Amino acid sequence: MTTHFNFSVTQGDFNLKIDASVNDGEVLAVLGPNGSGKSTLLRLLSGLQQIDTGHISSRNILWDSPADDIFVEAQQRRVGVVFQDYLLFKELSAVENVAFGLRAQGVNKATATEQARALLQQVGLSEHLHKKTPTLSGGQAQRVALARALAIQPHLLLLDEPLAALDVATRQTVRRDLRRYLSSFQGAVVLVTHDPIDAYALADRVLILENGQVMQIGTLNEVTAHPRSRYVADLVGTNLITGHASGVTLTTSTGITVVLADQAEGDVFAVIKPQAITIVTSNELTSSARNTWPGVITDIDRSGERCRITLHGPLPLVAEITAAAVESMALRVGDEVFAVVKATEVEVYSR
Amino acid sequence: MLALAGVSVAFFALPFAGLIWRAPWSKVTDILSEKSVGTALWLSLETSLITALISCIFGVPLAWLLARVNFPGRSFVRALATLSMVLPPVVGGVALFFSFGRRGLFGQYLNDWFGIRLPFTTAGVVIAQCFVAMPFLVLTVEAAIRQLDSRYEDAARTLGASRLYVFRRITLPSIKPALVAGVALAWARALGEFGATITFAGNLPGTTQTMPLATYLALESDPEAALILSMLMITVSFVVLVGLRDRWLGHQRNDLVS
Repeated sequence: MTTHFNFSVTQGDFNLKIDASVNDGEVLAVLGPNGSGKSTLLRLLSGLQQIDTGHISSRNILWDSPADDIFVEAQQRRVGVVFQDYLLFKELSAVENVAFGLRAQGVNKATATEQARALLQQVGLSEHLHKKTPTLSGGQAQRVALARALAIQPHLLLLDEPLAALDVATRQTVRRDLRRYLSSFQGAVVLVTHDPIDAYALADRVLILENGQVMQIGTLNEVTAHPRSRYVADLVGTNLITGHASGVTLTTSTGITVVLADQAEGDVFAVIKPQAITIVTSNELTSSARNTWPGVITDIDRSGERCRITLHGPLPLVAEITAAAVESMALRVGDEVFAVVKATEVEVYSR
Repeated sequence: MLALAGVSVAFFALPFAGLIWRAPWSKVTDILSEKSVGTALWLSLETSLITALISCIFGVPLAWLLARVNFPGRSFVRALATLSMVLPPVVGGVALFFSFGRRGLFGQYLNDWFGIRLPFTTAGVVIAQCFVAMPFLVLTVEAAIRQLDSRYEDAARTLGASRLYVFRRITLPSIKPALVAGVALAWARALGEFGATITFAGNLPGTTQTMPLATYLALESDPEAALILSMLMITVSFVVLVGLRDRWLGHQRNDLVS
């Protein structure tokens, strides 16, 4: 069973157009920069907002289809939502929050409370059942929000930046727990995030959303191996070059040439991994590497024994070299250097 | 600055000082135990409490509509609903008279079809009071709903709650202090209603003669009674205002905690 959505919606001069689907038991991560339309997507899927054209359906039931004059409102959809800052009801205790959805649907108080208690036990919160929610820690609040969304047995679970409100220390454990709960959830999951680590840890497939358009959709490996936009390349931490290939030469829109190992034709992307770049201080040496570009060091970011060097020049690049190399070459921000890349390290794929 | 502020305080305080100075304290019990005074006081309490209740039943949904539903002409409706706050109450009374009076645009049908007559009845007093008092509740409650984070209501809806259930379980508990304040303001305004009442409902002792009307009449026939009646109403209003202030302070304290 699947949740399909293929729609277009316009708000002011922003247009959101998405065609995708999520299977039951699958987690689809929606990654995108701020303002890409992620939150709007969740409002549309949950039924808090209507689409303009197209359709949204879950398990063969139409939820939204303007052409057929069908719109199932939020309260009638089997959708559970974990909101970004959880939005737990402050006047209610943890167990009352989780029981809220059942009570709203007419389940009697004793049954609803019993089910809520069981759910909170599953997420390891049996000691905080009757605490008012403002007194809970961030990680506890997140689990109450998850239990509350799962209590109505949704067909589709939506998670809006579920870890963004947590500090770094708790984020890791909460992420690990979340992964466990999601793997036992039967329905489809859409996870909105701007943190690629969430996608790595939790998602089966990734949808990259930019400016209201789907840039890429596929498994993590597919998307990270062949990024199709600067945003994805930056997320993955690699260098993406766009240009036109002819023979073994790629020419960028700014006129820089990149020598390739194999023949290619037409509009292409090229990826150069930061580890494949060698930094030299002079280009007068004879080398087997076919590509040499000048650049000024604008940033040196050390992490452990490695350094990421950001180069500003005709072709902006990020190189990764050892900290020992940075020290022995005495590299500093502002130094003029050259980036050297073998043609065999440039991977080309069509646009 | 201090001197000017002092003048303001004096300006508000002096009229009451005058009242208290001139009030025939020795006759207080006599006047208050007079039957006509008792009747007017009872009628005032009765009608103003009914007005507060009706304002609550109809005003809260109106406040919700104005705060939460985006419909064309919303600002027009808001202006209409609060017009009677700035209108001279007499004008409101005249408008009511020509609409719901026996020969009024709607009043004649009320009379012909249902046998309902509003002018010169206690029901008319309530209508006149609602007309001028309900906007106070609507504005207070609307502002409170507007300040609520509507995402909590969204969250409740995604959990399967109907609009009414969301309002009852989420919205209403959050706006309780404002609702209490709104009801109290509307009630106090109804208690002091004069112009619209006397224009629309007349001045019939026992039926439409409320405390303000009785006070005005007494000023001509029995000024001492007018003084005592005024003192009584001042006391009631003052108690309401002081009570409200505590409410508001209590609300602020809650905000600091949460």
